[in-house]
Amino acid sequence: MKRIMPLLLTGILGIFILGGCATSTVSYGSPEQTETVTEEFGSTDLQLIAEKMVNSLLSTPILSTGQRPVMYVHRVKNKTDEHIDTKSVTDKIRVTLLKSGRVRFSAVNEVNDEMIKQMEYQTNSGVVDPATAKSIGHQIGADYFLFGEITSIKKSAGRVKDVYFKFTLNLVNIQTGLIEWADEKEIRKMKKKPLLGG
Amino acid sequence: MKTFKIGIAVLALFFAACTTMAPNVLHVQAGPGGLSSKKVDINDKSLAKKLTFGEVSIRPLELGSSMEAQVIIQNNSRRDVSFEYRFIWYDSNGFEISAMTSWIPGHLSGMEARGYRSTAPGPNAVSFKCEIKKSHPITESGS
Repeated sequence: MKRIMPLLLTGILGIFILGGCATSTVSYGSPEQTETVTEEFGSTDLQLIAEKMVNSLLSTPILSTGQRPVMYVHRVKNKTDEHIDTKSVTDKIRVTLLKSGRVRFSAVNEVNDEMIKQMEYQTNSGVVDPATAKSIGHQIGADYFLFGEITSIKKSAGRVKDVYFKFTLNLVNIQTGLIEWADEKEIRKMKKKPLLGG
Repeated sequence: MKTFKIGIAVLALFFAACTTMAPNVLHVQAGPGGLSSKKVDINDKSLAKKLTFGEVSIRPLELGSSMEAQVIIQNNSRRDVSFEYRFIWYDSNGFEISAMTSWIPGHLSGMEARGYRSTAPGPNAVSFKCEIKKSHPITESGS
């Protein structure tokens, strides 16, 4: 009895402490923390891709001339069988590059209709002070655009599931049609089910 | 009494496994010729026994627009080690200028050493720190 009592007390103490974990809670986490909740494409994969692409682009001579070339993001095709918001990946790349101050991005492929509509309004409506009205014919032409794709290879056997992602991004010179820069990021994620349960 | 102490020790180990330690940090100051100074802060001694910072290399990019840094991380154990790392860049006033500070998963095979690189976000970067910590992702059972 003397031996059992301390162990029992420890067990009861542990149950009380762990019992605090029995209710579901919601709390804020750090967006910088890695996650491996599932083997599907996730936030950490997005961050890994953006980090590799940005580091690579910032190292390329094109962005090191001091002349701040103008570019836009065309499209990143999702060739996987998952829903992946490829725009969120390219948005992250674009925001980080813009913050570096070494590149400019054109908004023409995203909001060109809105810009033209606004310029027509400012010029023709008669409501806007002509001294401040923006007129058509002054947009800066882009020098480059980015395009790419994400693919995946999935394999499963027994308790193991293996998923391989490959993200490829290219920078095209609009004047010459040449691909001046390209890089890729490979990610492998593995899921192993437990022997019991799962 | 002995059993009680063992029970408390087991509970303590359980909770220790659930907590995260502060990262081990390599502080690097860049100079005109490249590396100027470096300093290491060890916050996680058990991680420091497995992973150590090795050689640091800095090279300027074209026209002095920025610089690129590489830090060698060495796995001193015979087993594979998973960890997380990140680079944070600073300007001359000590302001953090990195646009991306997410933790990046890393993996080294037993006794492997590999270079991990980062490009400074702009020409005003003068120093950086490279942080490494034990892998602690959010999993299906929570963090």
